[in-house]
Amino acid sequence: MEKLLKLATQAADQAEVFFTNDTSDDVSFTDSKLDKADTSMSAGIALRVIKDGKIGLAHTRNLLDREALVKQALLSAKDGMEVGFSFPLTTNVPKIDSYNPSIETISKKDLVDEGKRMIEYINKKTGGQVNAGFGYATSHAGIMNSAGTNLSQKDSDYWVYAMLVFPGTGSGLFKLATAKSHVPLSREKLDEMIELFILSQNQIVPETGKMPVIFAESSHSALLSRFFAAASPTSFYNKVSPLVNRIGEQIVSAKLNLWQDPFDKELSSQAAFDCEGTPTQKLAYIENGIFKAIPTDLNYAHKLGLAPTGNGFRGSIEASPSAQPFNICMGMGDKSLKEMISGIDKGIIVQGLMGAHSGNILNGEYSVGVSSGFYIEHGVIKGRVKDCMLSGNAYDTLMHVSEIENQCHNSGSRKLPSILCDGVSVAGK
Amino acid sequence: MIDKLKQMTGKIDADYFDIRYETKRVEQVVMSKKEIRSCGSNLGDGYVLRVLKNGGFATVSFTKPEQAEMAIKRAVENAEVLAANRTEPKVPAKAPVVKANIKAKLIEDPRQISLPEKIAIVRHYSDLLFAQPKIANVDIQYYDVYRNKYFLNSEGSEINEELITTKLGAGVVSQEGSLTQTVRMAFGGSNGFQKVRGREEEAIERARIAAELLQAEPVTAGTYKMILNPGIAGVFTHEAFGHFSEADIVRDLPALREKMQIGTKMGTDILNIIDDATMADQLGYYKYDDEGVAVRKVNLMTNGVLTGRLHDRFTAGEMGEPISGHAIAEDFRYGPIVRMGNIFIQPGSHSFEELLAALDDGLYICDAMGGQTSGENFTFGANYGYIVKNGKLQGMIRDINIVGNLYTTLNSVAMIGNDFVLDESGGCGKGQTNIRSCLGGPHVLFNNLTVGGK
Repeated sequence: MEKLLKLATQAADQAEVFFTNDTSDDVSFTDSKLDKADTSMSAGIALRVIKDGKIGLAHTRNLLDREALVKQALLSAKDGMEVGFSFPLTTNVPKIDSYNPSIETISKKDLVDEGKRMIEYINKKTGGQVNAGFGYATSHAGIMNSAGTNLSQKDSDYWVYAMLVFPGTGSGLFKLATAKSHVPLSREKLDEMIELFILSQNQIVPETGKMPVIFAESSHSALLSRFFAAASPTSFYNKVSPLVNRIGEQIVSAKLNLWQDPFDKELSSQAAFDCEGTPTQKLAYIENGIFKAIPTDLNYAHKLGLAPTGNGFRGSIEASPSAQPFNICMGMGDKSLKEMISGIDKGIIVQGLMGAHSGNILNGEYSVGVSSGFYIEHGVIKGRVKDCMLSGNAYDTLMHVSEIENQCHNSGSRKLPSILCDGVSVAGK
Repeated sequence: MIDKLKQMTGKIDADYFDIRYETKRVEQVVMSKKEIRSCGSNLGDGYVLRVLKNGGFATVSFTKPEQAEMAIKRAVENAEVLAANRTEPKVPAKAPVVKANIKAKLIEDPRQISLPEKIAIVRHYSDLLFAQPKIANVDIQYYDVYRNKYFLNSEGSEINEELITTKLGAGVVSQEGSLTQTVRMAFGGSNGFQKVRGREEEAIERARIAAELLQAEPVTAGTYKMILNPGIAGVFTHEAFGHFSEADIVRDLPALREKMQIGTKMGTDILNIIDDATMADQLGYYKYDDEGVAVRKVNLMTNGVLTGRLHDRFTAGEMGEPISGHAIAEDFRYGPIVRMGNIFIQPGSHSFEELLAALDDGLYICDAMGGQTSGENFTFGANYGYIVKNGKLQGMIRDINIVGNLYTTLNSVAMIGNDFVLDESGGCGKGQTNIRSCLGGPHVLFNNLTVGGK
């Protein structure tokens, strides 16, 4: 790796080497039967060079020929994107505890036994179809550049999920737990799912109209994803975001607070530096409804005249770093989910949505099918909603947040409470 | 390479195995707001090993040849854990042993076109779109993906097949005040670079629609009679029916499996649905799937009756149905899953004017903005549409998303057009991305479809 960096630095004005070594294992059950036990081992090296103000990229899975890789990066720089940034020198980053060595001792056989016990517990109480899975992964990634940065981080990740399928359908209720090493899916979570499943036997097509909707933590990413699409440095630079020039303005309800916390131990994407070697930071996106900041990578921070926020992450070794928000947290409110439900005369609580990736996302428009949701009448859940869509504008919906749950739910790199929004447009019968 | 794979897998203690090694070269040009944002080519490679032992079937992917021994060990261990904890052993359906070497059939080979020429063509379309009224941004991307796949199995099959996909796609953004509208454009296919040349008129038409959308009214929520144009009829076929024809989805949902028995009447008498990846010159073309099985045309629905299903060898074995050659992987990082190749509703006999007259009052919905299924329910978005009154197109509408249910929607197909267009965008995301997922069809009239909205 050092040799590659040296070679690239000699041939270009600046150079950066990023590497990753990953392994992951997963075990899954379909309809209560053990179905899969797979392993993946992958490695990769990505090289970026800057020469004559242009950036070039190359990557490989197997570093067989350093010179060829450098040559390929230089060739790509010839017609490449013009950049004005420099690779940063980052030396002191906070130590984070993102690796739990006990991940190495997990046995697939133990997970199979645990899965069988969990499925039996759910089956006994519901008789429904249960799908479940476990996974564990380790990653060792590092970055070094010609400015002198040399950082690396080891991560471990563990996840377990259970899904209870609504009879006669393919959608259902879903619970997930994630941690740095083995963690069970708690009885409490399983019981919550079982309780709702029993209520789902009754199916209701709601009347078309406006009503209060509780977006459970698993469903309001449909709204947040629209915010993040607009609060992206590319949308800002291209001036196609409705949020351009609105930093400092109220864009959603004053009840809402949204931030990223790279150092939160309970979330899966802990990181002290990003894939470009920029230190990460705790970053407020929305404070009391006021739009505060956008995440940036080196390139767009430079183009927009902003400081890089350390959000330049690579989706894969093949992808260039781009600004990605991560470890997203939302501030809690003061009502329990039960209290939120009991205050609704006629409305819906939504666990799962489909089609959230389509429509005019940049503008905040959404029009989504409810794949898992329940109809509430006189403060009580009456049954599962069927053939129903929600639509509106995410900013408008989030402006009408009337309650926020007094508890957050962790799933992967998000920590969110349920939110109650008034006057959401529902299409039913 | 086949000999190397033979050597690598020489000592596997299993009932069946296969290994796929592939190289994948992607050359791309990404331009946004007239600036190059990314450009160049990259090469990746890796191996996917699948092992069947005592009825347990496991997949291991790896990227370094020196990991082969470890990969084999893990695959066998994984298969043994599965075998010890399953009552029904997995058995692949019988498939012919194939020895084949398939080169991509190209009219103009994108590998022979220089990067500067590719940049120039991207810039050409970008400038052209920007020159149209009200266009505020163009996100445009060109890529060609060259997969060179080597497949070997323990039954003696040895296949080398090349797949080369070329695509020019864009999001054309119009703007007025703070309102923006995006229209998608996609040109490309499996048979060469010529697919992205000479499409200027179509590009200008996309920009015109984007500008017109700024004046369109958001659609009013409700249930309508509507005509879907071929672009969105294809997405309907893919989302509302196609995914439920994929045997792995049906296998994993017993309730669906019970309802989707071959021979069940599920649609109106006029409805015929086909998956045919063997059709020449379309985006989804291939010869052998990633289990070494030759793909064949499958009549999925005939006169409204379910007549076929898409399979890999294991789902075919489990369900006792014929193999179809639909096990497809995204690339060297993944084991194959069941995918559609090229799905469409067979054209009928009616002109578009006849469909409009039969519609009378309703909506005309055009071009897809992505879709999703969850169980028997599905949604898909439309790029734009028109209100139809007395069989005549009226004002343009936007923000259209359709929701439906597998069991009711197919019975709502009322009339089928006599035209036929296959889409060129691809990109189905069922766990992995299939850039060659092809779909299309004729104009189709539905009696009842529900749209969300105000």
